[in-house]
Amino acid sequence: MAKSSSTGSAKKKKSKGKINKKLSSLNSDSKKIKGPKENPFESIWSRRKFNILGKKRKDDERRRIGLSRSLAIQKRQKTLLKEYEQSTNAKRQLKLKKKSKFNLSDGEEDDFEIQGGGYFPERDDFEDDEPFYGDYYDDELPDGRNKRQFNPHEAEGDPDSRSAEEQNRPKTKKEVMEDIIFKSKFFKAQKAKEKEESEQFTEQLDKDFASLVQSEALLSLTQPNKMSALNSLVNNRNSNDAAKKEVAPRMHNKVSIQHEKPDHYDKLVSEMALDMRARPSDRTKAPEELAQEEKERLEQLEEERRKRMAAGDGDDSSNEDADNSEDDVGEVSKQISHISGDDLGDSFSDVIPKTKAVWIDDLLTKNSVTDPEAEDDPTSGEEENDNEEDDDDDDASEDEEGEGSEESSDEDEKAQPLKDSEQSDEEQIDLEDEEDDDRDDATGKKVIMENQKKILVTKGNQNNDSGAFRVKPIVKEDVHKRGELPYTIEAPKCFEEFSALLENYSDDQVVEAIRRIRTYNAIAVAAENRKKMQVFYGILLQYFAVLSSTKPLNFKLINMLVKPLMEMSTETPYFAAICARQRLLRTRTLFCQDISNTGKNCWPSLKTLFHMRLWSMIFPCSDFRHAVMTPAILLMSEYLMRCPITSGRDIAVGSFLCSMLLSVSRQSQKFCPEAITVLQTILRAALTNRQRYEASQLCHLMELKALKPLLHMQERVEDINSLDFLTLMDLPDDSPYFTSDNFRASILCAIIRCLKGFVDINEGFKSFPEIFLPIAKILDGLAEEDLMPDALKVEIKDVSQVIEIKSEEFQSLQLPLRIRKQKVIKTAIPKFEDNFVKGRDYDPDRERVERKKLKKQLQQEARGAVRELRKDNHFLFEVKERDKARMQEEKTEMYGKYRAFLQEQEHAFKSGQLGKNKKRRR
Amino acid sequence: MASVASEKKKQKREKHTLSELKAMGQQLLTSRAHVNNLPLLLSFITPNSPPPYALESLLSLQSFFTPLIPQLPSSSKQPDADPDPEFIYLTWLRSKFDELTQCLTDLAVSSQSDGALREVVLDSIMEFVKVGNAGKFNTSVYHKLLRAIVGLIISSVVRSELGVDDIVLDMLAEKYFNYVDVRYFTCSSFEKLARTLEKEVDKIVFSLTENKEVSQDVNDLVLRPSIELSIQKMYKLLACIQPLKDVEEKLEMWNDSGISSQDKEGKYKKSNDNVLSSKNAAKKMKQKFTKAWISFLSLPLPLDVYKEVLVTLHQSVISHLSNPIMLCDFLTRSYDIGGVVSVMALSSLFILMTQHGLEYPNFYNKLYALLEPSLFMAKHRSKFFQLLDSCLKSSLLPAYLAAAFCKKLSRLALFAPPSGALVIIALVHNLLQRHPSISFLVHREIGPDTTADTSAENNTPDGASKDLFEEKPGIDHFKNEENDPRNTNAMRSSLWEIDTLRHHYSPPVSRFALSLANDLAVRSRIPEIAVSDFSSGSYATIFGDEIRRRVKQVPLAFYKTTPTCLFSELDFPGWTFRDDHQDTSAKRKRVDSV
Repeated sequence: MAKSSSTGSAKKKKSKGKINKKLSSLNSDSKKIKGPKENPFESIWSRRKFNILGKKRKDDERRRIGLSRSLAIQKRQKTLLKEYEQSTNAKRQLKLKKKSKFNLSDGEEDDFEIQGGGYFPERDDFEDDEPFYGDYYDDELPDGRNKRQFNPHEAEGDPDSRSAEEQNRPKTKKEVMEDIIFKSKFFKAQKAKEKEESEQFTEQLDKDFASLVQSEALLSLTQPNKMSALNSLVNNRNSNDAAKKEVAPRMHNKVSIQHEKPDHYDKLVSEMALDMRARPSDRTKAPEELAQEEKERLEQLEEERRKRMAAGDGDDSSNEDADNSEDDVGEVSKQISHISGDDLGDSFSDVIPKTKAVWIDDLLTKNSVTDPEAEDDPTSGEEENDNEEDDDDDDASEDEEGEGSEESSDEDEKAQPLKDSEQSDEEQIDLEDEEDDDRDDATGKKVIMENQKKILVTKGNQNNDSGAFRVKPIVKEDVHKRGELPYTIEAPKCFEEFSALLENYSDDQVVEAIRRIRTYNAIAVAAENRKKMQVFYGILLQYFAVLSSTKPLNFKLINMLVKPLMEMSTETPYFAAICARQRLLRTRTLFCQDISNTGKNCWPSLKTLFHMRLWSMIFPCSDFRHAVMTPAILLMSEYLMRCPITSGRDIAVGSFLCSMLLSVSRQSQKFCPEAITVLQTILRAALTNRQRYEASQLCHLMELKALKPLLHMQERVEDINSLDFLTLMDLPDDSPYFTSDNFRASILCAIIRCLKGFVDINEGFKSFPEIFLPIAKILDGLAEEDLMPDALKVEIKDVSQVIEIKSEEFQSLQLPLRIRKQKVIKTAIPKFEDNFVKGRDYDPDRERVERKKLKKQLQQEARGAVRELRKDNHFLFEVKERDKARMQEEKTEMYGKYRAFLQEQEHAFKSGQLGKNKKRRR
Repeated sequence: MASVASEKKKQKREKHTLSELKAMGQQLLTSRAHVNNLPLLLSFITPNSPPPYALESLLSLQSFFTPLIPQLPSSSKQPDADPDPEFIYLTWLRSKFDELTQCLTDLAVSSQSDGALREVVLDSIMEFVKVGNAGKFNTSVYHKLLRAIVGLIISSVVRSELGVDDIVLDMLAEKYFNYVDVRYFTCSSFEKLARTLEKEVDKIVFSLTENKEVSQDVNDLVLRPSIELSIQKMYKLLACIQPLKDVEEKLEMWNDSGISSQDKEGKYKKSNDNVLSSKNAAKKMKQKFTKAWISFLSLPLPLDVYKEVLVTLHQSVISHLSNPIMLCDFLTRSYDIGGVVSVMALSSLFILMTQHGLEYPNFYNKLYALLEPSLFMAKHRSKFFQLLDSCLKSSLLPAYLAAAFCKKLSRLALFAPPSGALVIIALVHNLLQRHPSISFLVHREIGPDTTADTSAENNTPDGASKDLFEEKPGIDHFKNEENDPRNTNAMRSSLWEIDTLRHHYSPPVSRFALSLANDLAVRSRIPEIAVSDFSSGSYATIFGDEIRRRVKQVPLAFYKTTPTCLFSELDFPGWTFRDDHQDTSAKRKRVDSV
């Protein structure tokens, strides 16, 4: 570089004046040139050749060192060099100022300046040289790369390419022939090989088949009689195997002959052909598709129902069919293929085009005629989806044939205005339905009551059809009223609509209606259904609430609602949670109002309890924090803590709440102080006064709620029945049952069992003895009582013993808390890390790690800084060196010049030409 | 005689119409000649007379008397031997005026009469009070009024049956207690009333002790409720009295002449009544206020009033008393009662102790005794917990005390609602942070060497009892029932309860307990927790927090098969869930078939 610069400077020197003027323009020119043409070193990528284990790869692993170096140099030129120049300029100027006072410019300075400015042009010259190489490399490098990429292929010797090459040149005849021979040989060999393989494969298959036959899987699939045939076949084969193996290689040709003979296997195959053939199974459908299909099916069914209703002539044929297939119906519904065999006579040709759905429908119309009691079948509503469809269909369609469709349609028309009027009435009444639960309960009750009346009436009818002549008209009317469920039901928009919809239907039909609404408006079918279904979910929840606050309670229907509610919650979990939270909030505000009204019983109603239970089933109870369950548990606990226990009914509700809390906290083994406290309080109510006093001395903690001896046994009770929750909740506060000893014994029994549950789930707590020992003392007191039934005594003793044993265990094993972190004792045992990664710091002391990291960073930075400084220095040094060299050169040049001049002078002087020669020299 | 008079009155009333009454009033006002209308009009001012009549006559009489009052001689003055007829007339007027005020107070106090009328009556009484005593505040009338309102006229047959929330009380408090002098005189007359009431109560108690068998139940039934009622009313009025601020620019007076001029003793009588510095007034007011409260507090207060008093005392009363220490008798008495009352007394007592230098022996023992489960449902628990925290702030407390408090509180947490548990965790956290000396509660090493020592020491009887803890480390030696923190053995225990709370069902509690444990694990000091953040918690706040929390995701319970019924008997041992509906229908079936 230095050399080039010197030569450059030499060049420039010749045209000093011009350069001075053109400097700037040249500079810009050079930049223009510089842009496209690159330093060849910059385009070189440093590639990593080997992966080094445990070494982290930095950004993309490929770096262009040349580029970064030249970038750094450029940067320095922009910054450092400028600074340097400025400083030198300033110095010079200073010098200049000092000198210029006295000195005239002798041209030397100018020279210097020119040279300094001439640095860039020098560089430019250098750059000018570059493209020479650059072009070369630019062209060369990618090629090289390509070559390298292609190399492996070439090494492999790609046949295509080679053949292509070969094809290019004309082939000789010999070569062609050889080729053909080679090909035929090749194909023959291949054929033989394939044959061998297929033989091996069949052998393998045979073996597999034998093992399959012996296994259970096939047994379950095929019919038993065929199984034996299969077995025998396999056995035969096994015995023949040895012989066959010898024969096989020799007699390839005979295999075909063997095939012609009727074999066991062939027989079996022909037999199996009659069996249900395995059809290619449909691909598993996406849930959306399934929902869509379901919806379409319902639509089709509805359409057909309407058709039948309008025409009314399809009935005859179906009736005929009914006679024929009466016996088979049960079987038919199980296996579809069989009907094709049985029904061959009349409608085989029809069977095939009919879709499955229509088939079922037909069958079911028959079924319904033959089996009028099907509707009463309690299981029909509860079966799983696939079976459900069938059974439900018969529910719906059962009545139409018997009564004739015209009447029913008339009835429908009549019923419609009636319903409307009712609906409008209701709307007037419960405008605030959504807000006020009590009210909707009240109106809902009306609806339900009507519903139930009808149900009762119908039940009566069915039971009485043997005698009772007066029943007949009612039967007719009833059937009209109930009508049939439409297959496609739009999701109702409000509760009134829903209750109007369900007005005349039985429980099973209600559930079926819900199911149909759900399938028809399934979310998977259309996105806008989500909103509909959410509304419907709200309505259903309201229906649940209404049902649970009606009297008499239709517990069966409530139970049947549980499943759809749970399933719908899975579809719209977020909405379900919001609903639940809103209800919880409302329940709590009502509860707060109640509790501020002294004298009002504020224990939760049946409805609240049902809701709590429903939510605890829908949502997981064991979550640390759940959007619904956490407030629900809190509310239950609050009930327990704040409601005063004044009567036997309160005790019943309280202890039931306790068992609900138990079931909720069982899985997560949480600690519910409220429940345990209430249990303890209630148990104390069973003690005599004297004992109670003693107990209160023992655990003076429990003065929170002192109870009257509500549960103290007055007389001896022999048998302990488990309490029926629903009837209990139905009884009024002052019912004599609550003061009966029967109740006392049973509730004590329930409480003891609940307590047992709590003991079981809380056994891991460190203060187990403190929590349960006072209870054990009360239990001991209870066990001592004479009037206590023996069975109960046993249970009481059992629980108290469990508590005592566990407490003792605790007290002997438990250690005081050691929460403070232990100081780590140094060990000599090395610690091994799984999945050790090199470079990661495994130091357990976080602070030290942090410190180390910082130190390392500091070191890195310092090193970087030093490096930069060094490079800066180097750069500056280079620049200075260059300047110096240039100066030196100039100096020597000048020196030479002057010296030459002087020598000339001297020579002239010596030769005596001084003065004389002057003319000549010029 | 009286009956005859009343009969006459009745006849009169029947005779006179409203317009006649009006005319009579006009006549009375126009000339002295018709002064005989006065008694007639007076006779209408009774609770029994119809409101329009009473109103009419009241109006006339008021306008008749208002200009005359300054001239009237004091009723106590004995008539001279040689009476001037004018003077006799005035004396007669005076007696009529007294009669009028008496009637008016009766009317105002009687609960039968119309509300609006009573308001008017009260207004007019207050008017009379304003100018009643020779242009100055008429204390006696006012005193009588208050007396009547409070219902302390033992001698009279007609007892005041005014309810606590009667309009007269409300009106008095609203309208007239703005005036400084009214307040002042209320205070002074309350002081007197309280004294008389106390005597009354003493008498009753005395009579009870004297002849128990005679009239105990009568007393109980009649007197006690009435006394309680009057105490309640007194309290209500007293609580309404706003004590003066020390520096008050402008004093609103009912009567322009100010307070000191009305002072009966005349000790403070000054040359110019109207120039009364507000500071002086405030001072006097303070004194009266203090006296009224002190004498009121010496009454046997019924429980509900007692609680309210305790609430108002520290909020608005103590700071305005001239000498708050005077309350210490009352407060210590109430602090000794125990239970909720003590809890409530604590806040006032705390003020006395911290700001007025009261020393209370066995304060901590009593504080310790207050820690009961009922605390967590008490209404004023928030204040109590904060006070408890500040009472235990001193690092000079002995370790045994701090340990006992820690242990007792955490025991309570086992039975407390979640809000209580939160407070307790905060309190315990603070205690443990303040008193490094009780860190053994959360961390105790039991080395092998110590057990060896104990086995050696076991031979000596002393050692056996001393090292009970080391011998059986699992037993909690803490005596929960012990009321003296010195004897609770808390030093030999460990805070297992905090560990138990980590399993609490309420997420804030369990999380807080966990964070406490984590904090304690680190040896470095951690700033104290502000108890006030938790002290006002309740089920409502925790529930509200949970409900307000944004629902981010809603996981659902997973079942292999969706359950089809609400309750399974497996989950609820001891309960059955028969289908009631089916059952009844089955019954019906049976009935039908029969």
